[in-house]
Amino acid sequence: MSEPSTAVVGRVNDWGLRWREARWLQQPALLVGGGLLLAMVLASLLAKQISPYDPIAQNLSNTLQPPGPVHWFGTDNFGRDIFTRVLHAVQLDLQIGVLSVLFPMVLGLFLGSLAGYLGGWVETVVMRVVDVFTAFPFLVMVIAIIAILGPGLTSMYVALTLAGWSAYARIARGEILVIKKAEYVQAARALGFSNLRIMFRHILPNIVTPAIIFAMSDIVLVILSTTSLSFLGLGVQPPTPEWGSMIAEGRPFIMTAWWLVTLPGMAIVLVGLGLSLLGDGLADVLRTEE
Amino acid sequence: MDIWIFLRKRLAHMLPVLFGITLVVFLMVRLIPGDPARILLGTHATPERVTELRLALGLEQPLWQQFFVFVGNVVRGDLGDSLVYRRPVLEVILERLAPTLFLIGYAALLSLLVTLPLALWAALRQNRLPDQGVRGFATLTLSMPSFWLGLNLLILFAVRLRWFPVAGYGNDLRQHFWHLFLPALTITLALAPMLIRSLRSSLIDVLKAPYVEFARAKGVSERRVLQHHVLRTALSSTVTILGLNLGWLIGGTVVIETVFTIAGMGSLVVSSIFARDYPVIQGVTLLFGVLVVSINLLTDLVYAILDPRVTYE
Repeated sequence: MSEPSTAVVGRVNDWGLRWREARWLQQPALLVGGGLLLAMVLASLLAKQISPYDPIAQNLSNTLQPPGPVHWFGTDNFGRDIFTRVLHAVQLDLQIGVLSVLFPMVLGLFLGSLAGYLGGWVETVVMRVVDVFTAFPFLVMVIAIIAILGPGLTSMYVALTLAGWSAYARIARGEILVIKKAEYVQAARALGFSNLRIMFRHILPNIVTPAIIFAMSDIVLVILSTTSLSFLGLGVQPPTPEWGSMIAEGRPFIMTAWWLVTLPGMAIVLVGLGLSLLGDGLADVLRTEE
Repeated sequence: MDIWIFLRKRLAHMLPVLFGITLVVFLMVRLIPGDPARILLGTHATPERVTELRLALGLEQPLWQQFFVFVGNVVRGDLGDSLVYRRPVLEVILERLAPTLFLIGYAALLSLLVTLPLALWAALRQNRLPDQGVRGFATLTLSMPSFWLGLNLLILFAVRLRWFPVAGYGNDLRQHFWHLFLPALTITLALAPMLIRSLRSSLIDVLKAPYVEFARAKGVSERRVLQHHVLRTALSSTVTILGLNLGWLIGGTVVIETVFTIAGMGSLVVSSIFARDYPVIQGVTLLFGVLVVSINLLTDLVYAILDPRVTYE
């Protein structure tokens, strides 16, 4: 660790000021969205206390029970309590969503900054590759990559990373082209700092904000995509409780037992709404700070 | 500048992208561990067939030469044979092309029909009840996974109310419209919110533009201002946004065709993954990529025609 520079001290003061102004608390969207997600995570952590049923063990004498006071969301074709399975899936689905945005974001920011900072042939190559990846329909590309690697969670992460990084690369390069010419970067260069140091200390912190704003709108679409992939049988495999694959398992029974499909999907809608609101609120806070 | 020069420039831009798409599709099968010829022919192929295909694909040659062989085959329309259907891939895909294209067109049309009035209504009543209602509805439907929305529409309107068929594509044009209504509606409910959001904000900008103020000041009726000055400008930006979202729309068909059991390209690619029918997966991926690139070119052209301010550069 190097000794704290004045810039770092300034940032700490900034945080204190931020809390006193409580700008975060003045965003109803941020609070409602965050509260919704927090409630869902808490409920899933307390799943064993909330519901007495096992998410995976089958009970074939109790299949396809409609929703009621005993089984709030009814039971599925294996007699498992659907509400319990929905609760247990919260952590997995959220984890998939967050990682599926984080991986492409890191790769995209890295390649995009490299392209923007170094310029020349590196920039040409990276941006041409970005063009190709942007031309592919997102889901078709993801499905094509999963086709090569075989269905499963790891394949899904790889596929979503390879298909999703190009948007972040575009953002990073665009920002860097502007920041590169900024006075403080010119000054750092004049002081003889290394490329790596300038990149990590002076440039990257400035491209993270627009990337996070984009990521917050991206994550809703990504969670919808990951549940779609599991629905198609390409992601999380049964019997692990996951919303998309639960809906796929319930699909043959839509003629008689609607709750197998409709109720697990409610959880996806709630997460989607929570993230949209959280993202809108966060974007407002971050934009006003800029 | 002439529109043909514009077209030629855009085509020149397309070439590297098309090259990249072909390269990715070529590498798909080469990246799977094992002998590509054996992968392409499946596990039940005779050694003679494998040797034959090895020669045809030029697998003894360096990778870049194999790529040229592949490109040559693609240009001639030879995408290999399907392992499942035992017929040329191109033939299998072309049979499935019509339902997919119909669904995409239908969904795009429905989306525009929903977007135009709602966005205009929201923009004219900015920050009042209609605006907030439309925006709230957009946030809600954007949070719904389309496969789940589709299944629920299916349960309600096909299973319970029996207004629409549960599956299939139908035999004539009227039946196509009837059979594909729920699938197209599902895509519309996912696509329209994005279009409404963008069109609403561009309408709000246009409504404040000096030339709209001028038209009002010289006494043009409000209706005429909207028709001639506001909608025309805003429409061209909607076309661009629709074009940008077509990638999503095409990806959406993959899921929706599976939900509604429509024999299109989307359900073909999903079933091919489980059957390990790699030649078909390659073919569909290639075609979808080309489709998106061509649609983007088309939207650029429509944009240029709708908006006289666009100089063809």
